[in-house]
Amino acid sequence: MSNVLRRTIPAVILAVVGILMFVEFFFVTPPAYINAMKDLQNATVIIAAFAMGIGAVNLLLTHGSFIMKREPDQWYYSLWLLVVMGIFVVLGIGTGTDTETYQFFFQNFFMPVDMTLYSLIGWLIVYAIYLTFRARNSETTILLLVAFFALLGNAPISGAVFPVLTDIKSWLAAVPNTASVRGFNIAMALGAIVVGLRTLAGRERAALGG
Amino acid sequence: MISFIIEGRLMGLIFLIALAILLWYYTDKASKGKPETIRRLPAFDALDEAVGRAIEQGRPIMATYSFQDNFNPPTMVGLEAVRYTSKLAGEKGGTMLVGAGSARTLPVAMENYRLGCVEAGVPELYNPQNVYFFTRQQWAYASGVMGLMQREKPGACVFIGPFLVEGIHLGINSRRIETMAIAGNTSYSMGAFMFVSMDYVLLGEEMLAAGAYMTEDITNISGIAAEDVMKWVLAIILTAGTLLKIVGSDLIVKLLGV
Repeated sequence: MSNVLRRTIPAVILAVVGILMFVEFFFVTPPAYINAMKDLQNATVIIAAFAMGIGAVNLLLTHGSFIMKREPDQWYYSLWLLVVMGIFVVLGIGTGTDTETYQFFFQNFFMPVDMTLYSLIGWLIVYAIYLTFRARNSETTILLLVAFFALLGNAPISGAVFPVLTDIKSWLAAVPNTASVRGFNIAMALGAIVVGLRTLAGRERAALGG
Repeated sequence: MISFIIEGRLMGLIFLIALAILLWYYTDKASKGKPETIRRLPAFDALDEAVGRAIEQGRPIMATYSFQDNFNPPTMVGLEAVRYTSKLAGEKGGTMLVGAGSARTLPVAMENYRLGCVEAGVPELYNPQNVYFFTRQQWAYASGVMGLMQREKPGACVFIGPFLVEGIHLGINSRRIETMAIAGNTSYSMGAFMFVSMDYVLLGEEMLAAGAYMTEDITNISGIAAEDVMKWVLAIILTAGTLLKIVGSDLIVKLLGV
């Protein structure tokens, strides 16, 4: 019974819904069918809302445990997380997410941290370049040469002094790069379709939780 | 042309049916005792080694699969990686940490972690408190994972999933805590961030093939063979299209647009 509930019923639902969506994508269907498919897609939003509850319980259990045990170097962060979560839940449910009060907290709590992390990307890429671009073998030497032309070709001054660098960079981007990306994308799309077919056949364990 | 099929989607449907027939053929062949074989990916040898090394050092093993809130193919492979890594860790008696990016995928990640422990024969190692729910907000998720890494210092980190630019933060952070990082990504532009900052990367279809490799299911391995045949078909169509275009014919372009 457990296997039927855990695997068979979800696999059947997955296959039926998958086939219904497949029909809508490829075949001309009546408006009632299209509307029914839209309703089905909207239903996933409701299911996701239930999943948010599981997420909240997980946060309360995990971080509540850290606070109860006074986990060194952690418990006060956990307390702060739960306090902030409480503030946002109360404000979100009480006043709505479009209100000035909610937006004040969102813009001043969340956005500065979000933007700080985002702005670090430039530095991290430079560091990653330092780690990666070393001529260790023929492949990394090619990578290094391409990076060299890409960097110089994109810099305005080198393009002004040596226009040929811009031409080399443009050729590298338009010909070998585009060719390899097309091959990459075709192979990736085929792989994704096969994963989809496996899922429809109920053989993709990950989609159903093992 | 054919009134009951939406215009412009006929060729897509034909390709899909052809792929499904190939998949059925190779699965049938495998079930008759002639399975296809797939080469072992270097990232998997590295994963075995990384898990063993982490356990020898007394450090946990971490697996996470990005913040994205959907069940697209890369997310499903990432969730499969959670099960596979949990199984490897369980067989060697290691502790797993699972980072869940979205609420919708959280129950599946928990179940896959539990199944990994069960398959390893150590269900008692499953601890729901080792599953950390972060969020589907990109940078909040990234800071949550980095915080977990800094706090727990995992000896092996698995980042297989549809990661975006936060992949470079996770990669550099894995270097800071001196851990072995194994990644997988299907996007060539975002995969590049992981490629330059992590130890082993499964790129593109290699990552989707990894899903088949981890399950060791004949249907999944047969899917790789079907893909390979289809790649040859597409290569022939592309070459024919290019040659015809050179001589001034749009035949293939028109056929593909049907």
